[in-house]
Amino acid sequence: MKSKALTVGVPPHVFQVPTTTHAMWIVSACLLVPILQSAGNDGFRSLLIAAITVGTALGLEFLLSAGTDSRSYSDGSAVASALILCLILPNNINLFMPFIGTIFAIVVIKKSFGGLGSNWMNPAAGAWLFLRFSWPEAFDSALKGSALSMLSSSVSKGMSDPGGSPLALLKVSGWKPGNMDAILTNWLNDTILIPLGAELPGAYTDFMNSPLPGLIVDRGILGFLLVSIVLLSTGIVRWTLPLVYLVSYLAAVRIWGALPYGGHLFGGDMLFALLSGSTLIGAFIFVGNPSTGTKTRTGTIIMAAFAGFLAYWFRFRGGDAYGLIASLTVVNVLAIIARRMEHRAFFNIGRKK
Amino acid sequence: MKKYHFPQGGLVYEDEYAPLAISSTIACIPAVLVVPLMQHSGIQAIPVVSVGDTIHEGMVIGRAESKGSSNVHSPIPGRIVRMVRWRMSDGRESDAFVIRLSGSFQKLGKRPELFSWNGLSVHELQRMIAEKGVVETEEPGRPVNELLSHARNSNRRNVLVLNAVIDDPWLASEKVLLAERQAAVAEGVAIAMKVAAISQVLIAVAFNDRKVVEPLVSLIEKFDVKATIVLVGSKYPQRNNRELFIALSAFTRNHSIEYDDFLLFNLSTTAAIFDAARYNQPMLERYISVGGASVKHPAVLRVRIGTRIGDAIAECGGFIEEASRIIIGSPLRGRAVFDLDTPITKTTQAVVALSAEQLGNLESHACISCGNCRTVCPVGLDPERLHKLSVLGRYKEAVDEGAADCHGCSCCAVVCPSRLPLRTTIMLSAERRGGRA
Repeated sequence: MKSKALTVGVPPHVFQVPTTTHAMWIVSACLLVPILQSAGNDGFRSLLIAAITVGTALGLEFLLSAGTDSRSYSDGSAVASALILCLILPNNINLFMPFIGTIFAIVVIKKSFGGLGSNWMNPAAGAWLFLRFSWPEAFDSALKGSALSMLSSSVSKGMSDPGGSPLALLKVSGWKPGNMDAILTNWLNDTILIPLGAELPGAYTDFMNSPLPGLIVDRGILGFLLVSIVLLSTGIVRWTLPLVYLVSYLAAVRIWGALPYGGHLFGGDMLFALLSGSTLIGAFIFVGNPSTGTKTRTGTIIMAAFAGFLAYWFRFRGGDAYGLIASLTVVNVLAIIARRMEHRAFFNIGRKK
Repeated sequence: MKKYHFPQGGLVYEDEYAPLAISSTIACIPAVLVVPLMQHSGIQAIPVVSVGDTIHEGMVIGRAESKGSSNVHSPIPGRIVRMVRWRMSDGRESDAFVIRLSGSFQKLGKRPELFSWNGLSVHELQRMIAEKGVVETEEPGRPVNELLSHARNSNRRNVLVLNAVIDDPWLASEKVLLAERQAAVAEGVAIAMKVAAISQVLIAVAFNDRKVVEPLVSLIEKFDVKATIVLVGSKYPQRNNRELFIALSAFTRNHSIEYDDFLLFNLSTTAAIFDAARYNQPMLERYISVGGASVKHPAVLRVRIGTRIGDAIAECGGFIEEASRIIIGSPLRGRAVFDLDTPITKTTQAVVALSAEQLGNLESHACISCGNCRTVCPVGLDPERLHKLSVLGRYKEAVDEGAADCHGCSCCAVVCPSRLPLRTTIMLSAERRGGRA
């Protein structure tokens, strides 16, 4: 047997967290789950988009690291960024756009700032903004027929529901839950929820596995719920950030969320807001990523709460059903300023002796 | 009882490959020992024997040279076969005697002769402790007689602190020593207090271990000394001086204990003081933890000082898989050595043989600003920023932002997913302050 070298090195000699590479590959593996769920009822188009983004990202990383010692293509970050971008794109999008978006994410957002760890905003979120505002018509047409587009359209036509329920408005607009919805809802209510004193209204289970066009993450929402559990249980995402963000966002939705649909104060539908509009990926991937966040626990909590409220504002008050990601990029920018303030306040830059 | 702890950071450190703190095993005495003449903080002791000399157990082979230096004794009877130049695990170089075992033991296996220390004067006791080469049993290994003398002559109100905090599983040796030599520890405390003219002892212990030290209080109080238990947190690095003093200061404030300074001793140091004063015995052996994933049967051993780490590992059944790194001390702060002939000294607490799997992937990646380091830093520093300043050579800025306050606990680096040597670069800034900025 070939003997391995006995190595020496500086302390510590043991570690308590997995490596960045390990975490990136876990995240990447997890993100495939919602993509697969979405691909299950769109003829594998979601999977094709994932293949384009991942292939482009890996190819770019390989090209950009050619001739250097860097092996950034193998650290998992490019694949993770590509899959995140895939998740926040519509499944019906022109296949040229994921390709262009990935180039923007990797070359402009990630590499031009120095690569992994040096980017000031999430590359996927940057690419999403780039696509959304560069080709707004293509983006909107890809989302035509999606639940949120139908809802926006109903609201703009002046339709409303006295209860402020978005699902009621969707039904009026022509969306019909499938037969399985009634069966699943009854089963869930009878076996789990009613004994616990709760009840799930109809249409939500169908909404969670909808064949309608939409963002891939919304179409694979059940899969993403599993992802969030894995990310929390492995410690890759700390629970504080998503929790504060979701509490802030859902509280705002509960208080004012029914107003745009004709409802009253404290009548907002939190479950609908949670399961649509890329809320969960916002909470667990974008907000949950401390790299683009603040430095301290206090700053983190304030920023996550602000991000939650801003997400509500962009989506419900701004009238952009997909405004959540835009709101998070605003938070990314503010986080840079917040980090400087925190540095002075908490890490005592005036420590000079 | 209230628990006192440092205000921020720290981590819970557990290691399944550390030995269980149940009992010790007396290690076989190896045929060859390597005894360095520098097992203390100061310069090496002057050799008083030569190659070829026959020596007996406990005989002085190195005489203390100056402040910080301490006598070195032969742990075994035998013959000096060589004198070698040895690089110690802390990087310092020292002469060392290679002793081959022969002849008969004068102390080992015999009932110890008891000396009554009560009738001795303070100066006689202090001389006795100095003569027996008693040093702190953890780095830097300052001579105990100097610490006691300083406390007595400082004209300040000192409180003796017995550090029984176990925040690291590799301190199993200290825990076992307390269980097996409780009376020695208690009497050692009383002797130290007499020499240092101190009337009060605080026993600092982690909240989880409070039951272990409760009998110690009554044993110490038999010597007409006031002993008080201070419950502290068990998070690493609670045992560290800075974090311990934060907890002790809060305790003394709440209990209106007036003091100027703490004199800190750990359990095995007080046991060594006892051995010197009561048995007239120098530091010949110590408790060490031996383990790691590569070691067959991790155990707490009682080994002769000068035993080579290879012999200590063999005593634990040897290797079950190839060791990728061998550490002297805890894996969090200890130093890697590359020679199984490295000797165990008065300050060696643990020998750890890490497997490749335990060591994991050590390749460093770019910082991803995850903030883990900030969360665990007990000093409240921003290790990420200090590391970046250090890498850029902006040492002065790093020092201005607190790099010199880092005491090297390694918490930041332990939780770094990018495997950056944060502790090392930050401490480097402090060493090179003002270098390039």
